[in-house]
Amino acid sequence: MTTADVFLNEAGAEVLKSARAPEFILPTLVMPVAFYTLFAVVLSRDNGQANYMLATFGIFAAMGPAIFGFGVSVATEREKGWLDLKRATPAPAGTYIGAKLLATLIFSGLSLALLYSIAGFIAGVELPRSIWLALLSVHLFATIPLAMIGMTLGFIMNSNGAIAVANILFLGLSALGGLWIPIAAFPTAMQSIALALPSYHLGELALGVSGAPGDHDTVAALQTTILMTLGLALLTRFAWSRQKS
Amino acid sequence: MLKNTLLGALALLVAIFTGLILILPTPTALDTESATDNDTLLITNARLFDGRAVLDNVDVLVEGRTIADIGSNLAAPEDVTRLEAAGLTILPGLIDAHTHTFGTALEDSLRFGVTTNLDMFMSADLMQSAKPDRDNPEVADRADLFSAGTLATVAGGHGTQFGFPIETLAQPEDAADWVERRKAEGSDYIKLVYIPNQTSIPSLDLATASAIILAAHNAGLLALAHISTEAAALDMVNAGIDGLVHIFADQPVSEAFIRRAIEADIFIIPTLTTLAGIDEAGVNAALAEDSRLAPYLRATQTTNLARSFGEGLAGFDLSIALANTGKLQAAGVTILAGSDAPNPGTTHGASLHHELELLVRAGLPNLTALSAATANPAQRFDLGERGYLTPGAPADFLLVAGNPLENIDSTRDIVALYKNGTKVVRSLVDGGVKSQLLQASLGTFNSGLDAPEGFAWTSTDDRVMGGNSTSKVEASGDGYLSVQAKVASGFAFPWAGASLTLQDQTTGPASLAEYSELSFSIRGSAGTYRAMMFDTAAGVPPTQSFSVSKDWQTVSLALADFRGFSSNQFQGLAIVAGPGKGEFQYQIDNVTLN
Repeated sequence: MTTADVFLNEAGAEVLKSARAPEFILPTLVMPVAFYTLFAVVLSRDNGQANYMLATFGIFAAMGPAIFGFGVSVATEREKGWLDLKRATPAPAGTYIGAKLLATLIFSGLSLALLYSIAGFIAGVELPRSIWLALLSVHLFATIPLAMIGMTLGFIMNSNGAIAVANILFLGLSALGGLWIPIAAFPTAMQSIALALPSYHLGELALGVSGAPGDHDTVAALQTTILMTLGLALLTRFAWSRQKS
Repeated sequence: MLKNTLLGALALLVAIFTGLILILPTPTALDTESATDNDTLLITNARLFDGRAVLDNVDVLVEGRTIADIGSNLAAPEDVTRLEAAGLTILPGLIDAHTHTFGTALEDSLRFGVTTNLDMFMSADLMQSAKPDRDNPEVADRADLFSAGTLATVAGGHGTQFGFPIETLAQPEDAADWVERRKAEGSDYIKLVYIPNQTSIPSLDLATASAIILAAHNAGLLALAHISTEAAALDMVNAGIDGLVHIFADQPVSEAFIRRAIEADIFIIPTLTTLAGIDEAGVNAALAEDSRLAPYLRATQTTNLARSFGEGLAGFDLSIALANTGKLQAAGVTILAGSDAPNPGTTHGASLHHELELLVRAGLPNLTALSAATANPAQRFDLGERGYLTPGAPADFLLVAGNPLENIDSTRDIVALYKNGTKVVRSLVDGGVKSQLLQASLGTFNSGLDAPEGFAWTSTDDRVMGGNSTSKVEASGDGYLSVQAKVASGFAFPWAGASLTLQDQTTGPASLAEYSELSFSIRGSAGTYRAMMFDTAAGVPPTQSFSVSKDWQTVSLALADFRGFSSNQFQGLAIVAGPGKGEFQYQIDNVTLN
């Protein structure tokens, strides 16, 4: 088997695992869509909101599989000794992580497909095709740094702790990052917290490419998210080496 | 193999997204609109009047904002918009050489194909706010404005009776400074009132009027005079005036005057339609029944056409005015078409078509009459390429059915109208329709913070919800509602701005059942703003968001898009900044229900 085959089989196993036991992954896929439907469609009396919220809820949707799919499952598998077994196999170490990331992207993609359908066909969001595509790219890209957060979590926590912390991170990054309510609505102190969160900058990037009203510096947001992604990669690497020892 | 599971899942996802991206809604309306705005337009087989002469069977190519080419069998790419114009005549946008501007004058003018107004006296404040639009090729919903601004008159004289203070002159020594101030204010030319030797109203004396003409010329501006007698007109010609803004009708024009007028190369704007409003009031009123004009007249325009200064006023004899105009033109004096709208019996736009008809009745050949409303005023007032249809000129033009070179009233039969290359939709904004329960206009702000009965305009902000935003509203003095808003943290969805609220609870909520749209003009600090509707229900009011920039724009919001709004329970509305925080200054005008 080539390395690519190992990687693809590994990723296939991840997908199959989640498909066979959907109760773990399904809630993370459905929750963002349900929230979006509730806030942007059912409760909203402001026609501009469905548009605006699509950009930020897309990040929210990418976050579910990234943090739960990745973080919690890595912690569980590590705890059960599955990772030790993996390390004993001849498969390159990177294939495990790469495969998980690819599987996460696939599930984020499913969640986004649901979200876009609700936005386009029910909430009446209309965007030029190029913007739909750009938005999809940003939302899929968001999976990478967010998955790194999940992975770090999985490497350093046990499974019970990982579930608790994943919940806090999932909700904290969403709320404080302005994915539910624009941070402009927050007091100044809370706004400065947002500046430190990747979720905020990913949200700004999505708002920028979707042409949402307000000042969104797309270039600065892209630069910040790339820098943050690199920083998170280093953090993940550190966490990986820590769990090995 | 597991690999195939993955590849299958990936393929499925790619297929889902490919399908989704293809069928997700795209903003069709917006796309097509901007596309047609800047589209290339090829008009084929038209009769063309270029401002001076007629060409038969030509093609006109419009690219973006300008006329790109005129000629026979012009080549153009397959995908351009084409307009077959056999049987139609294409004319440059018309120029009304005598108007007065307030309210919706510029919009009303444009609806009738008048793309440039030469104003002969208006509020200087309004002139300053309205003038910049003429240099903005994006503006395609109103006529371009050139203006004298404040006119030159004496204390208590003609021009002081319109309810806003103007700077008057008392002696020749005042002239130079007065003209400099007008120039600094932005007056494009100087208009003075010279009506000596009568007792009903004070007038500038000859020495002061002459000093004004000299000062205008020293400042590089044209000097124009309002006169009503031949004697006064002769004084002005001898003093060096460039043009007269009315024809005199106190006596048949003398040979001596004609000679002097030709020597001095003056132009005359006879404003016959205003004189007809005195002598033939019924004819002016009947303009509102012309099926080619009627659909585009506001209710207030129809009313004004039916008004009259009175009949048989001395010195306002239409037959003498017609004869004098005809004689002067035949002798070689340049005649320009001007309506003097909105004087009684006239209205912006429609009355220029009446003026053209009267000029022909006075004896002008149709071609000369058309030049009097296009190339001639453009040349005399140095308006650049306005008034001409030549390559490079701004794409201001109208297509009319028939041939105005044979029947002058064909100019009324407008088939298509373009301003700066953009097709003008000739629809009435308010239609003059009044609801039984509420007037269509919720605020014009022309006289303070006017509001429908029982309602008032006030400031609104989130302090009522425990927030920290602040707001202040006031009448700007130039006909707008001016808002200063500071949106600050404190409430989850902060807001600050202006609201129209029901004050008189005995009146109760109003019904907006007859209306489908809320529209208003707004400009100010750039950002996202919100419009909210208040009904009797509690909770978050139905809201629509829109963007604001420093330039005036009209925001039209369908009432149906205020989700959950009970339109028969209208208690007020708000136009506010937020939730984006910061300081906002903005102006609102013409809040209207359509």
